[in-house]
Amino acid sequence: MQRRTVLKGFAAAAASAVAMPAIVTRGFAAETIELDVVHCWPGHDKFHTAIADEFMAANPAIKIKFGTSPASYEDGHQQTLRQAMTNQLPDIFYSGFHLLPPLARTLKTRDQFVALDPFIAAEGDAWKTLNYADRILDLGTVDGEQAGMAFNTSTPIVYFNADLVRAAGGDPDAFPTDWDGLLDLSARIDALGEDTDGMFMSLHTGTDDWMFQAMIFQYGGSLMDPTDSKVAFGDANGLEAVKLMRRFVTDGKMKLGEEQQARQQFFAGKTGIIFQSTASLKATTDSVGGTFELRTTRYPMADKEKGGLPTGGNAGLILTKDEARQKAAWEFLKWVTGPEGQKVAVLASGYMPANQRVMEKDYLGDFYAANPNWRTSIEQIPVARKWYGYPGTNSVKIGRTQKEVIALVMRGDTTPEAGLEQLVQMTSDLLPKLP
Amino acid sequence: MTVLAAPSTPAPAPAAATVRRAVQSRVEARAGYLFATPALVLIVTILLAPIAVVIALAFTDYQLGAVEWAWIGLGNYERMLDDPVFWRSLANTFIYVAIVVPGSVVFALVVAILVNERKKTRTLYQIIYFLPVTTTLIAMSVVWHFVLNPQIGPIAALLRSLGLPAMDVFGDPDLVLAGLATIGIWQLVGFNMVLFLAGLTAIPRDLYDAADIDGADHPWDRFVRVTWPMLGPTTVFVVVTTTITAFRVFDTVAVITRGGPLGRSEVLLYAMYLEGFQYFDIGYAAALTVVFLVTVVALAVMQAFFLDRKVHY
Repeated sequence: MQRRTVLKGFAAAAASAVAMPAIVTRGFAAETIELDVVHCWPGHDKFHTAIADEFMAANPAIKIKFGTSPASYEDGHQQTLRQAMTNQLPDIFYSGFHLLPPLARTLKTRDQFVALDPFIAAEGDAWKTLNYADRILDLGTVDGEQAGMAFNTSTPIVYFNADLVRAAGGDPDAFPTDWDGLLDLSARIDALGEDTDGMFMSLHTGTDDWMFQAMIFQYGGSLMDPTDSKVAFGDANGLEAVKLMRRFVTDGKMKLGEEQQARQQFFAGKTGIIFQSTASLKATTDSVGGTFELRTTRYPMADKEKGGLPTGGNAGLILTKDEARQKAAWEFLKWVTGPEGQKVAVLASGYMPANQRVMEKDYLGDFYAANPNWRTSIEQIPVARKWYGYPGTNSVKIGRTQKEVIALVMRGDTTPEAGLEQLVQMTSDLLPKLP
Repeated sequence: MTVLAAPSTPAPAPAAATVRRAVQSRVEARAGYLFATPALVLIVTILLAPIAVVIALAFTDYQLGAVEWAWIGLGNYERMLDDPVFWRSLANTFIYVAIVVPGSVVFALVVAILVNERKKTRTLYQIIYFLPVTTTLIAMSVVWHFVLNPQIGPIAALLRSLGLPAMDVFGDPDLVLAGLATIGIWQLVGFNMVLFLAGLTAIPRDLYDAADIDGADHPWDRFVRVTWPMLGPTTVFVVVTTTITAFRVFDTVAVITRGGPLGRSEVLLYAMYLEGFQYFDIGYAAALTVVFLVTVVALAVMQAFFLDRKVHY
């Protein structure tokens, strides 16, 4: 991996060394613009490069050059803030949705923020409605402005081992769509053998609050009140959600293990049901191989009317202040979030398409028809909501700190009522103090 | 240049030799500083200046990327006093050190004495015990993660075949530190063993012969009367370096437990990493770094003190 990066670096250096004289001799007549682009996760290099290659073939005047990919959204966020301080920002950066609000707010205070609203307006309404659903565009907004364009989007879905479901007397074709049914099935799978577990959801472990937000949203609840000033999940919906988490352990027989180990165990065919991002579909399918029959289905909603799910993934931001480069960067963003770019990204991961034209027959229409496991992701588009970012800059810390209280509740050390109260208190303490 | 120019310096005729000698030594001294300058500049820019910056940042409320920040004096340290996460991570670090240091030192001593007795297989055992030292702890953490998996790991299978309940080492708040400490001991034993072996080789044979003559011929007597006292300096060195290494525990926590479950494996370095690299609260992270730095320096000073004064036989 490292060697590959080094080699790539050499190749890039050699390429630019060769390209340089060409640019010099041609002068600025050709007006080739080279855009610096940074995305997170080295594992995503492959599809980003594939999309960029297609884009460059269609747009010879624009060259795309990728910087080294940070290892996580947090690393990428930190790198971008450092670059902002030294005025070395890339032209385009893909920010994780949960870090988009703090990034945009920090850039605004530094006068380095580029709103995308004028670019969208210039394209016209017809183009906008043809390509993007409003809720997808909304994923990239911060404080009422379009900060980025949603590129990778995902929601949590159910992955299950159809063999274990059958062994436990369930029907993989009629997987429970409510929590009672799911927990009952989980308990029956757990009873199959000492080395078999029923279910796993990463609520008490892991690094972010994605699954917690899903728990609240699926009851139709919200994390904060509409004015964004007071914690709102201390209500009846929140209590139901916290009680349900405890029931995962009491009724569903879920073990409170560690996230990575739970994944290994599911891949090995020893766990019946696991909740994961749609983005893990390709990787999970590959890891499972032929060990068992892998199936996916929709996340059960407690409130089928108002329930929602938080959307994970990332959005592309334009960070250059130069007008000509901004224009080129917008062309690139349009491509990557367009049907061509989305087709490549979706097939390489399992991410939910961010562009509705992808569903056309020419792009992925036939593929989805033939691959039901992949269809779950698009079936959940109507319930996809924004991954909520708290006001201020403490979102990451809030998510991590909540996990401890959640773990105490799930273990039964704290009652759901007391746990909910602690969650509300602790979250309020980390919000910006009102003047 | 300066050196070459030196002889041409005009010198008065009387006592010319002494003056010339004084001039020369001054020139030599100056040249010496000149030669040391690059090293000095490097030490200042890459070691001392960053430490000074960290100490300065610890007095601010700086958040990464922020335009405005303020001096808050001892604010970060005050916050630390009220921060349960800080106290918890400090306590966890000390518990970890308290398990790893005696564990890896005693185990390494026993192994070293046993290996030292071997004639033909000595090298083989040395290599086997030294192997963990040569591995990358990050990669090995992934392996340990799998080995100790409560359902599909080989240890769990072994326990089950013996009719014992499976242990979820990294999921159980009461076991997690012990689990991480076991990996820490596993990693350190080989290195400490090599140090003890070096110490053992340095013990003169005649001391054992003399002990024999005095009637101390039981292996235990030989150990208590000769080996153990003669290993004094080695032991102090091993204990101090092990303590510092154990204090810096991070890799296993970052890869395996990420501070969980219930924060029971959150150690000082990990808390620092979270504040600085996940929450971007640079000022507070810098203050934690200063606390960490002071502790490690104190340990190093203790080492110098003990090695110089206290260990005599």
